[in-house]
Formats: sequence, C-alpha cells, structure tokens
Amino acid sequence: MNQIAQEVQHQTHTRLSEVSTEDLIVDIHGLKKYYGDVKAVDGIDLQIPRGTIFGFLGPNGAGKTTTISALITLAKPTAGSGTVVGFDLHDRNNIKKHIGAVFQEQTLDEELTGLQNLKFHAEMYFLPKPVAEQRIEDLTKMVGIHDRLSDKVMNYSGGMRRRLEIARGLMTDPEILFLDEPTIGLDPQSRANILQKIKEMNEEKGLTIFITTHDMEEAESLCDQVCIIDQGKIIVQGTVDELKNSLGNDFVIINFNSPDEMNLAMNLLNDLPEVNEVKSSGSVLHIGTKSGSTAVVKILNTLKEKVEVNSVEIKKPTLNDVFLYYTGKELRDDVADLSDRLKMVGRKKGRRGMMRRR
Amino acid sequence: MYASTSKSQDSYNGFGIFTFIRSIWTVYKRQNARLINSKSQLISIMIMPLLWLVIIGQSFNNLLGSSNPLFSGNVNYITYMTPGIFVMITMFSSLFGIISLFYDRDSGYLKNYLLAPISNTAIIFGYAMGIYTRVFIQVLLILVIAIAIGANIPITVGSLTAIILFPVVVSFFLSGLAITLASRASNVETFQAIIMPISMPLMFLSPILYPIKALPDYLQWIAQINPLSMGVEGLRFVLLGKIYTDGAIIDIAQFNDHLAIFNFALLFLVGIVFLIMGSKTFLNSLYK
Ligand SMILES: Nc1ncnc2c1ncn2[C@@H]1O[C@H](COP(=O)(O)OP(=O)(O)OP(=O)(O)O)[C@@H](O)[C@H]1O
Ligand SMILES: [Mg+2]
Repeated sequence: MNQIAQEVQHQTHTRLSEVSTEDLIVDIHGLKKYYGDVKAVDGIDLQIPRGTIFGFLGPNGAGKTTTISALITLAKPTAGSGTVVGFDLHDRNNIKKHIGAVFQEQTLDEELTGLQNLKFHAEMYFLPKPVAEQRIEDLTKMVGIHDRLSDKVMNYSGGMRRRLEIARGLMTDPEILFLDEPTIGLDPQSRANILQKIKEMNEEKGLTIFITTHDMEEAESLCDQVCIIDQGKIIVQGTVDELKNSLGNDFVIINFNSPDEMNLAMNLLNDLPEVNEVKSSGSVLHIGTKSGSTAVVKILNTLKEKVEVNSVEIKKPTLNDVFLYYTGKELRDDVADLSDRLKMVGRKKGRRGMMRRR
Repeated sequence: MYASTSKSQDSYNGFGIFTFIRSIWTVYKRQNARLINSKSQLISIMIMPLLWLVIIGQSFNNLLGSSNPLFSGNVNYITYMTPGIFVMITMFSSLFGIISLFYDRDSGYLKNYLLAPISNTAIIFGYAMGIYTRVFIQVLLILVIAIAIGANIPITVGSLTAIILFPVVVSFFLSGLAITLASRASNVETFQAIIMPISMPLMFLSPILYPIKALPDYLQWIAQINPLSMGVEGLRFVLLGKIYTDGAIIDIAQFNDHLAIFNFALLFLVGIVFLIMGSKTFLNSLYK
C-alpha cells in the first residue's frame, strides 16, 4: 500500500473507530478465503456502519463475490472473525434471518412465474401470507414488473429478471442487502430507476447496502463509503471525496493548433508554481495542478499573446481515475499518467461489454 | 413501508420440529408448482406407466404367462407383475428424480435455499417428497390400468394403504441412495453415469418382473440381499397375501405379516438415514 492510500486508510479508520461496535452492521477482521492455492480473499477487515451504502469495487477476480459469499455464510472462511448483523460470523442460521442478497449470477426458477418465485421465497422465511402479498405488490410495483408477475420467468427479458431478483432480495425486509453487480444488463432508465429506489430504501428505512459494481459513476453517486479490493487485499478505503482527494491532481487539458505550438507552451508553463506536472501527446497538453479552476487563469495569462490556444478543459479526478490509479497494475506508482489511464478505461470498458450475463 | 422489522418477526425461530416441517413443505410446494407448470413433465409422467405396463407387461406375459407353470395358479402374470411395476416406476423416478437437485445447484437456484434460514435436511426431504408425488401419480395410474387389463388386485383399505406407503419408503430409500452416491458429481452427466449402472442390477436382480428362482444360482443370493427385493416381496405379500403364497412363487423364504412390517420399517429407516446422509454429503459440503 502506498503512502497516499495509507493516509486515506488512516482517515477511514479514525472515522470508523468513532462508530460504536453496535452500530457496525458488518465488523469483520482478518477474513481469508483460500481455494487451494488461490487466495481469493486474503486477510481483509470490513467495518460497515448501519444504514450506509458501502461500495465494494475491484477488477475481475479481485475477490468481491467471494467476500460476499463469506459474509452471507455461503462460503466457509479460511480464517477471520467478527460479526454480521450482530451475530458471530459462524452463527449462520441467525445471520441468514436478517440479510438479503442478489447474487451476481441469476438464481431464479425459470419454470415458475415471477409471482411464484417471490411467493416461495417469502415462504422460506415464513412471512405471514398477508405480509408477503403486500410486499410482493409494493416491491414489484417499485421495480416495475408488477404487470408481468403471472408470466413464467423464462419469458422475461434479462433486465426484468434482474429487477425480479432485486425485489426478491427486499422481500424479507433485511437489515442489510448484498447486491453483487445488481445493474448488469439493465438499460439506463431502469438502472437509474433502481439505483434511485435503492437510495430511497436506504434513506427512508435505514437499509444498509453492500454493493459491488464495475460502474464507477454508479458507485460515485450512490456510496457513502467505497472500498477497493484487488487480489484479495483491500487497497484503499474511504469516502468518494477522500479517495479523489488522495489523487491530488486536477487536470487542465489544453488543445493547441499544432505540436510546435504545444511545445512552445510546455516550455512556458513548466516553470509556473501552480503546475505540478506537464504531459504532452500530439498537440494536447495535460497539466496536473492542485486546483484546476485557479490554475487555468494563470496558465492562460502566461500563454496570452504568445501561443494560440484552441480549447481548454478542466478535469477533476473521477472515481474511475481513482479505481484505475489504485488497481491499474503497470501504472501503480505513477500518479501523473492519468491521461494514459483514461485510455485504458476505454479498453477495459470494451472488454467488459463483451462479458454479458447469460 | 413495513411496520415491523425482521428482528421482531419471530415466526421462525431455531430448528424446532414445526419449523422443520414447514421448511420441508415450502420446498415441496415449489417442486409441485414446477410439475404443474410443466406440461411436458406432466404428460411424461402419465405416459410412462402406460408404456411400462403395455410394453414390458405384455412381452413378459407372453414369455412367462399362462403357459408357465409358475403362473398357472391363482396368480396370473399381470397380477404378479403389477406390484413389481409399482416398485420399478418408483425406482426410476426416485433414482433419477433427485437429479433436479443437481440442476438447481448448477442453475444457481439452490443458493436461495442455502441463503434461507432453513435446515439442509429439510431441503432434501422437500425434494424427496416432490419425487414421491410424481411416483404416487404414476402408481395410481398403473393400478387403474393394471386392473383394467386383468390384474387381480384386491381393493381394500389395507391394500390401498400399502400401495401408497410402500413406494414412499422405496422412494425415500432410493432418492437418498442416489444423492449419497452421486453427491460428488460435478455435473448432471456424471450423475447419470453413476446412477445408470446402479439401476440395472437393482432392477434385474430382483423379483420385479420374474421370480428370483428364474435367475442363475450365483445371482440369486445378490437378489436376496437387494433391498428392492424386500420392497417388492413385501408389497406383493401385503397385496396378494394368501393367494400369492399359495401360488408357490414366493421368493424370500416364508413371508408373514411380521416380516412384511419388518421389511417396511427397515426400508423406511434406511431411507431416512440415506436422505440425511445425502443432505450432509451434498448440501453441507457446499458450505466449504
Ligand atoms: N469456488 C471456487 N473455487 C476455486 N476458485 C474460486 C472459486 N470462487 C472464486 N474463485 C477464485 O477466487 C478469485 C476471486 O473470485 P471472485 O469471484 O470473488 O472475484 P470477483 O471480484 O467477484 O470478480 P468479478 O468482478 O469477475 O465478479 C478468482 O481468482 C477466482 O478464480
Ligand atoms: Mg464477482
């Protein structure tokens, strides 16, 4: 873990240590899960305050799903101790009564109707019939599949299945809901809609959410606290703002008319105190600075009447940048190379796009 | 939205017998809903008994029927065979029926059961009961068809009870056996590869279709210890009673009421043990 990450981690620890143990819905230490030689989860601590939205991010194979499996007691931890919903990690029966989960892969019965899927789920938790019926009505209206309840699931579209699963996860009125990539396969409207509902459930009923996603915008808009895991280890943890600040740099991106003019500008700007670093590609300059909005004035003043500027853009680091900074393997030690990393995002997204759910 | 939180809903608590039975019931209800929802499964279940009786029944009847001195007495071949067909249909449905557990594991649905606060044993019993329901429908159909084509099976409270209960124990026994033996199967094909070779000797080294006497000497002793022999002969004895023993085609020494009840109880116990073992080897091992 590098120094910046340590600082953020420290802030987070200080903040979490002020939360009393009873208010931690997940309080786990040293969680490990090995599959033979594969260290899927390799000694992580998780403290999640009740009523918050916790974003669990990490590249493919980082150990997110395995962590969830251990927390919902479907995978036996290799090591680790602590509590989930106030019960010991090994007290499976009690934990199960108070949690809900939407698995990464589909777990619906396709031979049954949507309604039957929900009903049988309610029965497994012994919900009284009128309560179950009321919730089915409310929740399916909420996720927008109420009018398709009597269809068999095999006739549902991918997004409808996902929504049915989210409704099912909420059926038992859990204290914490684990969502493993809940929005894969959803169209933008449904996605926004579902995220909105999740947020409402969180705000109105204090439902704690544990969510994994590869969509950084989603995580950014939703999560109170974000944790990045890679190769089974937590890399960094904090609020979205803390993590962004940990990168330190805003970027001022300037487009020039030609590479020559760009070179000229680079020489002029290198000495400005506001400028932390300068990177060039073609006729574009990427300038790292503490505060983009003040630096841009200085920069333009310096260039005035010497070099013609084509366009200017100020870029704040996004959670995406944060994610790539902490998990982008080749680039791990290089804070400056954000623009290169931005290109990498494009590549990564392309790859993910091909990994559709079945 | 909801007034009560789950902490205050104490409708489920621990693993009391009531909770246990309710858990079995919910698993069972899903199995039935799947059956009712699937027309092809329903039709297949209806057609199978017909095929067994007509194809196997007719051909064996020609082979072993009236010309054979064994069946010249009070018990004609169709009468002899019908309890055998009960057990045979029970056998195939039960050995292969538990495959739905593997399908549910592979499709992911099983995770919902594992996530719910219900016991693994209850889950297995729910599946086993679902299988028995399919058996039950088929057994009733066989009974009707068999009587229509000349089986001489008395319909009394006692015989009906036996027709309902014997398949239960055989079914539990065989579902339990299948799940215990195949619990390590990583996919459906492996499951079938394990169960197929078991089903053949179970069926042919037993008095399901013909008396054990018809087997070569060195195979007869295997048939004697085949648990299905117990099921078939017990059921035959209860159904056909005196006529049957008089027919001189008895297989397992001298049958009597005590022996029939003992058979029944033994199969039942072993069946329950197998099912519990199956839930341990299959479901418990998923928590790893
Ligand atoms: N049942 C298993 N047996 C063996 N190895 C496993 C098993 N489950 C997961 N792993 C391994 O553990 C590691 C972490 O997997 P996990 O599914 O937790 O990743 P993830 O963070 O959820 O990734 P993704 O974003 O692709 O869903 C991977 O290397 C994976 O191969
Ligand atoms: Mg995953």
